[in-house]
Amino acid sequence: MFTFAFWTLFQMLVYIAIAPLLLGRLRWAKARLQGQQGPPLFQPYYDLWKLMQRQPIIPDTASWVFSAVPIIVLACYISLGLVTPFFFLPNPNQNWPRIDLLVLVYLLVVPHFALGLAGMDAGTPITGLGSAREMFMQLLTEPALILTVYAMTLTTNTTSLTGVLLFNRDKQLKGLSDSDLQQAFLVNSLIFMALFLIVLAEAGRLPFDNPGTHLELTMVGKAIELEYAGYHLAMLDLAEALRLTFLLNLLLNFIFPFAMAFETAPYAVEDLGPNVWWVLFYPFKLFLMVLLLAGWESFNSRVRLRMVSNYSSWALFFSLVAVLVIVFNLRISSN
Amino acid sequence: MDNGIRWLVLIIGLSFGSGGLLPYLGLFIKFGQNSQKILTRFSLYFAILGSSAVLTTALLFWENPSRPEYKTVTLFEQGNWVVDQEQVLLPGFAPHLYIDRLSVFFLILVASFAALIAFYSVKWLTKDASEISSHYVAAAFNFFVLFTLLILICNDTFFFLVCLEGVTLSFSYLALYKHKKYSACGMPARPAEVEETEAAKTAFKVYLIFNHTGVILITAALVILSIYNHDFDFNRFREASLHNHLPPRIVADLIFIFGLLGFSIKAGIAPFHIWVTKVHPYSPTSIHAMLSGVVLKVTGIYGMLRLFFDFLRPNWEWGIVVVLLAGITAVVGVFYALFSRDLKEALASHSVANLGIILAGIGLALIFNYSPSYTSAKAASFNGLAQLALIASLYHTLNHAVFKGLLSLCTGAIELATGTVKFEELGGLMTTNHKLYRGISNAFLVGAVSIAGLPPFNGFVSEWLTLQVFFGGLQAVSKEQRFFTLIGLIAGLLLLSTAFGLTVLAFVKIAGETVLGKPRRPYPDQLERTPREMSFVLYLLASACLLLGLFSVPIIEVLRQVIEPLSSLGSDKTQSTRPAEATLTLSSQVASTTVQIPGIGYEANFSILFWLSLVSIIALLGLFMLSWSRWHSWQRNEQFLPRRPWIGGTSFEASKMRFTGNAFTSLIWMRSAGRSTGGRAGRAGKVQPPTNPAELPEKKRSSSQKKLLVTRPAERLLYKDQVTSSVTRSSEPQDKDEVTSSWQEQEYLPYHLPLTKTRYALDYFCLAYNRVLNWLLRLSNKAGCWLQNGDIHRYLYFIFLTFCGLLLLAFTQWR
Repeated sequence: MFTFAFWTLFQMLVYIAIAPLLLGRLRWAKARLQGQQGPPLFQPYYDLWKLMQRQPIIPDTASWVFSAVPIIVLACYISLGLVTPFFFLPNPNQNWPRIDLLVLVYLLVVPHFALGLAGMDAGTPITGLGSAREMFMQLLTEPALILTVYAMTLTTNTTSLTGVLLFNRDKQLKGLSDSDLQQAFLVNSLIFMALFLIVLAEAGRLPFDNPGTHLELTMVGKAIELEYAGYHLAMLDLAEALRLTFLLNLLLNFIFPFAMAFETAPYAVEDLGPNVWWVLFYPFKLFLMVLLLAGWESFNSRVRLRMVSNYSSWALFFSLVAVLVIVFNLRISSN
Repeated sequence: MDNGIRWLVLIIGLSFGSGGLLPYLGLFIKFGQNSQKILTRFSLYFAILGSSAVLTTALLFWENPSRPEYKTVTLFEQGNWVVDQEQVLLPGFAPHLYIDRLSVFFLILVASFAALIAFYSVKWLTKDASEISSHYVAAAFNFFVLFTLLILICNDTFFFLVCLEGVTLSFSYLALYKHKKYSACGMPARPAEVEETEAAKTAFKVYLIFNHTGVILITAALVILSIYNHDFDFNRFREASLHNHLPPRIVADLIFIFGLLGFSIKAGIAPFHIWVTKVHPYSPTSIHAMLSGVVLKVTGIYGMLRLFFDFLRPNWEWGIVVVLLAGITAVVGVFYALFSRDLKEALASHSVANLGIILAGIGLALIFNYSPSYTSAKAASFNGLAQLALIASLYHTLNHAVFKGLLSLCTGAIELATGTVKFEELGGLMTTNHKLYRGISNAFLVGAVSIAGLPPFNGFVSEWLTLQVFFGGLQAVSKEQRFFTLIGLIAGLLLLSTAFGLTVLAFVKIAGETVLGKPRRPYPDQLERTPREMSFVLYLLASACLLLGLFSVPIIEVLRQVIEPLSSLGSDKTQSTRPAEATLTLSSQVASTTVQIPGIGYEANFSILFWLSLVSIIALLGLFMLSWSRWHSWQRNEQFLPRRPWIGGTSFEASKMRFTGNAFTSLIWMRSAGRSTGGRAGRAGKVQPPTNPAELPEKKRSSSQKKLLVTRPAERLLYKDQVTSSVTRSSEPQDKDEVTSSWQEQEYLPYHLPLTKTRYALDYFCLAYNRVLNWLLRLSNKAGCWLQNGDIHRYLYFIFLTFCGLLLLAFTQWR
């Protein structure tokens, strides 16, 4: 139990520590793709430190909700580090905090709800606009996310995070036929595409929201943060980085899991063996995803707010097709 | 035990009956200056007393064996009032009684809420209804609770219908509350107020029409069932269902359809939800909490559970219809809540959405309980899923009662404090200096978070359970390749998840508009403190929201025992006894809610430890930030000065430049209406129903408005006939109907409700309703039925009397 708790907490600390780095690398990669030099490696940390020194400003229209929201948002994303497999698999038999994918869906709503309230609490037209847009996007992604989660759990017969991961990892070992494996690959690809679009919407990335914008009228998530300053803003920035890290990890680990620690003996820390070195590989895995995202963002522009639903309906479509393929047992080749 | 039930009825009858009759003492005796207040208070004290007595008595029935030998218990001992049961002429004189854990669950729910609301109303009613006779409101509340409690105990068709009708009639007085209040305040001056007064009046009519239609349909269902079973006793139905002596398929389907429609109308399921959204805003706010939180479920959901799982074994295909109906209800209800203009209306509309979620559980249970299963593993999984679905449904019933009660009572406090519930006039309660306002606002926020289904509050748990049934259910079914089941389940899942997403949006809007930001106008300063009693009830319900969410495991265990007595649950069509291994495994491991469905090996769980760690992370972060700001020098020197917010460099007036709710929902209008103009103003002109007859009632309405604008209330009374005739007569030249008969087209359901402007389907429902009713009335007019004069009440009572006659006829025929 002690070693288990130690390694899981270690994993959570790594998650918190490298999150700003990841966001910095994303900005760097985008800058390089545009022919600019890009910020230094530790720029996000400097920014956080600078903001922590500053006094927060609270508008005279706001109540306690305004100051509580950054704490709640940050705590939600931090707590995800306790239960998500990043490079270690959490042991399902331990008496450890545990959630399933459906709880995850609901938990991802909490920060949006809190930010929406904060936008209404600040009381200015622009923050209100931001929270309306944020909740609208939330509304668009929720059915798609639930259906995607459903598709993910359809073959695995469980909604637990570890169960889905293990099933996808051990597919080859289960004696499935070629036809089954092809079907599974098709389904997983569809789920990956759906989840990619959902992650973009959830993390506020490019066709849905431009995180680098400086024009209030085009902002979505950032408009809510307009009134925040000082360490409140630092918390929200850290939360944004954690959110991106978590969602990229969701894409990386759950559908096509590879290069995880505990490959051979999933539940015994003592039997780590040579796989422990995969831990060091983990940042590079994330960095690969960041490069992919930077490429995507360089070749996409932000769409009009009305067109956003087109993208989320694509996500819905992909997940629906995935569900139908599994449910009606459609095959690519009939052998 | 038999005597116990009689004692329970005696307690209910004595306490609530005397509470209901007490205010009429005021007709004979005057208790000084505050006679009205004293009577109100004592009437409500009787309600509290009765509710707590019922609470304690009902708990004694918990250990009642779940499936007794179905002995009939009559209210009066044999030889006492009734000589011999066989010779009874009127069945209503010997009401049959029965109580099991399902009844106990609902009894406890009703009694505890009645106690809380009566406790709250003692202050609320005496303050809010000071200008009208509040003691009659208290009396009506007593009768309302009395009949609601009796529904849960009675066990024969006749008594059940009488109680159902009693609930309808006793609430009809309460539905007139706002109308009375408006009339007591004198002549309405502004056009908006005229419209409000008119709406308050039509709400009453709408209520009566809908509920009587519902009662008639339920009567039809139960009478057919009684005729088939040759008895009125519910126990006979149960026995028949248990031993598979079921009506032929067509008759069973007919009973199912009548029952579903009737109970759906009583529960306010779409498309019959109009009465809920119309009527609830005009009832007293504290009692509104009772109706939308608890009574809708007793008259609707409890009836459905009894009919579908105790008396009948409907075909499983009906479950798909129910699931789709539930999904549509959920989405429609949230849309109504999103676009309503005042708080009470929004909450009433959202009850519809929540009833959709509850109904989804019932529909899923219908599918899985009655599906034919060929293997024992399949039977086990279906049985587990059916139980889980019912547990989810009952859990949501409980949760909805708690958070809707909380929000409605908060609304009552807000209404009392600020004098309004309109979104356009509310806002910023949290930032005012009054401690009172802040207390209400905090409770309101808790309610909003729980109703939005956010973890770890209670709405989340039941929504999670419902979704688990969908997830596991699709898996159990998918191996049999049932096309329509799959499509129905996926469609239901999508509709429900859309409704969940919309709820989150709706409650950010509602909470943001009501309690957050800057007040739109100064609130009354010289405000008497909210009585402690009211705040106490609010905080109690708010903490119940959190506790029901955190400690879900014991509650699920209790609910599993609640659904045990349902006679057709857990046994499929081929077996008359329940297979022993086919029970759902809801293991209560150390602090983790686990769902394991046998047969398909489906498993899902989450642990309470996660919520505890989340809360502790929040606490740690908060402490860290607090100490961080203390440590810094800027905190030592100056306070956190409130600054003016920034809106792009222009001057800012917080109360005028707030983001409004209409703007908040404009994005959704933009998508659903397909036009770039958002907001209410943009919609009003364009969305007329596309057909020609739609324009007729609009003209009528405008002419009636003009007429009412120039008429004072007294004049209206004097010249009532002229006014109504000018209202009803259309301005266009009459067609041949007028020549052939003296019949005139009347508008029974207000065709253009302020809320239904863009909802074609609803407009067509109203139109069709008016058409059908007109057609029926014209037919009866032509038949020369002297009983009819076109008065809707007489018509409805006529139908009701006919059905009572039918009942008697059936009784004498078969006994």
